Amino acid sequence: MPDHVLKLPATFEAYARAAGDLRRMLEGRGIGLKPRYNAELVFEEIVSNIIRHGCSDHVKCAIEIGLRFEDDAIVMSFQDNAPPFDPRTYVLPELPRTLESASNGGLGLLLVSKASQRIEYEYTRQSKNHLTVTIALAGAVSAAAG
Amino acid sequence: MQIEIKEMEGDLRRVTLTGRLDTPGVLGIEPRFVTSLIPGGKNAIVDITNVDFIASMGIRMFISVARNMKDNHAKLALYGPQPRVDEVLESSAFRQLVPVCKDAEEAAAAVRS
Repeated sequence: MPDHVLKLPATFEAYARAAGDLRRMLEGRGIGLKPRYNAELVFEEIVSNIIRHGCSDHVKCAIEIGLRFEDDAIVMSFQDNAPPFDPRTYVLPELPRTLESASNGGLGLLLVSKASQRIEYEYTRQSKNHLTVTIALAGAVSAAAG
Repeated sequence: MQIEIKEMEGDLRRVTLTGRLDTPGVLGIEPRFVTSLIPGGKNAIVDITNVDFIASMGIRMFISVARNMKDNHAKLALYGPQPRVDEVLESSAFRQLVPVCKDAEEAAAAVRS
C-alpha cells in the first residue's frame, strides 16, 4: 500500500499543483537532495509524457501516483487510462554527439532510466497502464530500463 | 520561472533564468527565450545559477535554440549549474553540444571562440 497518493486529471495546470505537493511531501519526509531530485525528475518525465502523448481530446485521462517509502528506496507507481505503453520497450536514443544529430525524442525516458534503480510495467485487467519506478535513497543508481 | 534578458557589450546577450525548468516552467518562458535569442545572430550566455531543477523539456529548449543560433552563426553557452542540474546535463551528454561553464567570464569566452 502506498504511503501517499496523488490523483490528477491529465492537464498541465493539475500537473503543476501535484508537482508542488510531491515536492512538499519529499521535503517533509526529509529525503536527501539527490533522491528527491530523482523522484521529481521521474514524476516530471512520466506524468508529462502521459499528458502529452497518452491523452488527447478523444482520450480523457486520469492519473494516479502512489508513493511508498522504504528503508532504502522510494517506490513510485503511476496508473493512467491512456492507450497501453510499456516504456521498457522503447528504444532509448543514443547520446547525441552534435547539435545537428540531437534527437527530439526519448530524452525523458533516458533520464528516467538513469534516475531509477528499477522499472516495472503491466497493463492491468482494468485497462490501465501501471508503471512502478524504484528510486534508490542512497548509493549508486544504475540504468534500469528493461 | 523568471527570465531576464540584458544586452551586453561586444555583441553579446545575457539571459538570467530563475526557477524550475520543468514542463510548466519551460512553457512559461520558451516563447520569450526563443524570440529573444534566435534572430539577430548574436552570441548569448545563460546564467542558470538560480535554476534548481531541469528535466528533458529544458534540455530540449536549450538544444533547439543553440541549433537555430548556430544556423545564424551565433553561439550559446550556459554557466553556473547547481550540482544536481549539472548531473542531469552530464547524463544527457548536453555538455558535448553546448558549453556549460563555471561563470560568466568563461561562458563569454566560450561563445567568442
